[in-house]
Amino acid sequence: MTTPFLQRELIVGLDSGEWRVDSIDPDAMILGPVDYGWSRYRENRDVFTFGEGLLASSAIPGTRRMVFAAYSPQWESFYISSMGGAAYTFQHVGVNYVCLQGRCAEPSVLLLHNDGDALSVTLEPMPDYPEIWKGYQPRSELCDEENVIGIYALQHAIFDRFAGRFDPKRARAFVVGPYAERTREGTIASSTLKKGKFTAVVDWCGRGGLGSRLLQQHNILGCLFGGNYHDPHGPRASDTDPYFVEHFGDKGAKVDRAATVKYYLDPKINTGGTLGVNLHNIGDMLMTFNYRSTLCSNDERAKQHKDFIVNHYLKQYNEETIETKSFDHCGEPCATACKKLNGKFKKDYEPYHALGPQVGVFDQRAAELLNDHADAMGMDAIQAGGTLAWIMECVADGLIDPERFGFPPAEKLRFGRFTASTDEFDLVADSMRNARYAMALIDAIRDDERAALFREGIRIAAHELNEMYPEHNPLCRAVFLSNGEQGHMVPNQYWVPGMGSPMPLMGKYYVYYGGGYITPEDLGRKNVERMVYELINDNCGICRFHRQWSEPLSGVIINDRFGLNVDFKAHHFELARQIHEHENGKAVPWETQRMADLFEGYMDYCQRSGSEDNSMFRWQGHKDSLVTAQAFWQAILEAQSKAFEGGVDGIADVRTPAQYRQHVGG
Amino acid sequence: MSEASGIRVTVRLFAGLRQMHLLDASGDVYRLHLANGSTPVDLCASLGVDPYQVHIVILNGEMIHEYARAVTQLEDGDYVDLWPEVAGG
Repeated sequence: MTTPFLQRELIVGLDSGEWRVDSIDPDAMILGPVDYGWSRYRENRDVFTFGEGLLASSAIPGTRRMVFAAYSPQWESFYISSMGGAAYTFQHVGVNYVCLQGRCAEPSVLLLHNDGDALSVTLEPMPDYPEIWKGYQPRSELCDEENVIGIYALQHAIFDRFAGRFDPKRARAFVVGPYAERTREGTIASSTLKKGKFTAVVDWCGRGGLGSRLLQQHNILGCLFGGNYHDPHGPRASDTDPYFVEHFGDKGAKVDRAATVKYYLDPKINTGGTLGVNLHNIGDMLMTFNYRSTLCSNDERAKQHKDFIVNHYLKQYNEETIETKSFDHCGEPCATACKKLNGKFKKDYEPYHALGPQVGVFDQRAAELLNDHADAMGMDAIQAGGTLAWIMECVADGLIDPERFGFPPAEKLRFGRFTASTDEFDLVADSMRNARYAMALIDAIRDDERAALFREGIRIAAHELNEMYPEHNPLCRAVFLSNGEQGHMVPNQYWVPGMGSPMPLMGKYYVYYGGGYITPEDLGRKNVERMVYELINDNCGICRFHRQWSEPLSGVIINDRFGLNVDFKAHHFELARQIHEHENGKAVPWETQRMADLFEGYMDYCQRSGSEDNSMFRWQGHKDSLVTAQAFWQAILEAQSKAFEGGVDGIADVRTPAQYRQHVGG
Repeated sequence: MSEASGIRVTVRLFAGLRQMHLLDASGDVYRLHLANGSTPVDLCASLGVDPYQVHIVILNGEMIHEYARAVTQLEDGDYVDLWPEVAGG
């Protein structure tokens, strides 16, 4: 049955506190929060938007992400980042999207509450937030801990002060932490609640520094949202199951479970979740000690993987989290239960890799301590891991004087060189030593003026350190992507050229990141394809863990539900093309020798013994590896531009099995 | 199967697949003798690699779509690269 295609936006003027709700023109071709954010951004770069997808009120798992879009001060571009499960609560506010304009006079919290009949919007000043971040005693009925800091503290304080009129089952908050105030890389965090009590699951709008944007541009510390609005047309499972049966041969819940098994528990490898699956499968492509493992032989990495990861780091995780099935969901009912827990610590691959092996931490106790501290400060774990690992290498190798920046001396860490030997590296004690060192760096960068240059991010800090220490060249050890004059991003933690691509939004999965050598021409085209399909997920508010069905099917369901006739691939190609066109020209080639080493090492790895495949010879064995790597980068960029210019017909179709059979005439 | 009736292909395993399936001392590259008409799925079976664990199949530099792995026939002299799953997110 078709539902009226009615969408509503809430526009909040932060200077005055005035707000209004407008209907969105059905012909505006706004199909979701990315379309919405992009359209408002093009009208005025200084707005901040967030919202839900068109299936948020459905019973389909994975459809309740809250999607944020705004200018990224870190990447110097339009950026999109989404938070798991938050739209499961946000749907009860009764608007699809929120647009923040202007700036509050004081640091404030935005309250969005719908009592079932009417929406209320309030801005509440919270001038004591710096003290709250330092420590807060939560009410025992909300939390088992006695004192919490950072993002955890601010969430508790907001609930204590403002949640009185909210139904505790339909209230949730997102907040920023101290790193949103001090850096361009701050996140937005949101803990899930069960029966009115905070759980260990925290969801993140993690990449791109949108937390910094929210606080520094708009003076917003967070938002408490919820209420009792119910979509009268919200489809039930019985309404959407026929689509799954037709296209995948089974009901939605079963199809979804099969499509997401690796995120739950893969019985064939006896682990699950991103951390378990990737640590298991990464093998001799492990990146450790600030990527220095990639400079070593395959066998050295394989030995480190076996002795440090399989026999210890992964073993602990499997025993403590997988065997006990300590799983939970992101806040929306979802049998995938991708949140893997050990007590109060939630574990995902990239945080526990970047703030794990990359910083010389191979023990779960040490990684838990470090990740929890970075989380509390509102840091992006990938960005933090890449930056801290680089600083630790610079300190350990004597490239910079730690005392000059308020950092502990080099003797306090165990990071001097790559090792795959447990005789040389005590997996428990040395991991804890490195974790504590990394935590000291986090605190120094936050509070110590001597370390202020690191608040500008790894790119600016690396260039400035090179001027301070020209004889040591600390820049050459850093791994980051560059955009615009100062924009930067630590790449996602996969050792593939795709993660270094010059796409308009990096730090996400708008790239091809599978293994294997493919030419830069193919890589550029595949990057554009992935951006198109990842945009479908983000614009529909769908978690990419469910992408096996969501990419080919979500458009079919939405078209039928709202009586639309939109070609989703074409629509999102055009969205991608517009973003590319608008942000084009900001991409900067790889700047550092370590980036070139990563590229060269990957080529050698793919080439290795026995192959007669000579298609990658042109990228190997040149005297200046950075120049060669930059030529590869340039070739990707040109291929991307060509793919955008070539139009949607050049984008391969992603099909359901039924669509595939129809395509091949079966 | 006689050698004359089959095909010879060269297979390389990458990342975790390499460690999970080290079949001989050389460790990296396997030259297999398969029956005519064999597919990438048959190749995995002959190596003892669960096809489910293979995320990417590259045949002579070209990626083979998941749906096509059971029907694409290998030919004598082919090179096949196998990569495991990564769980992005």
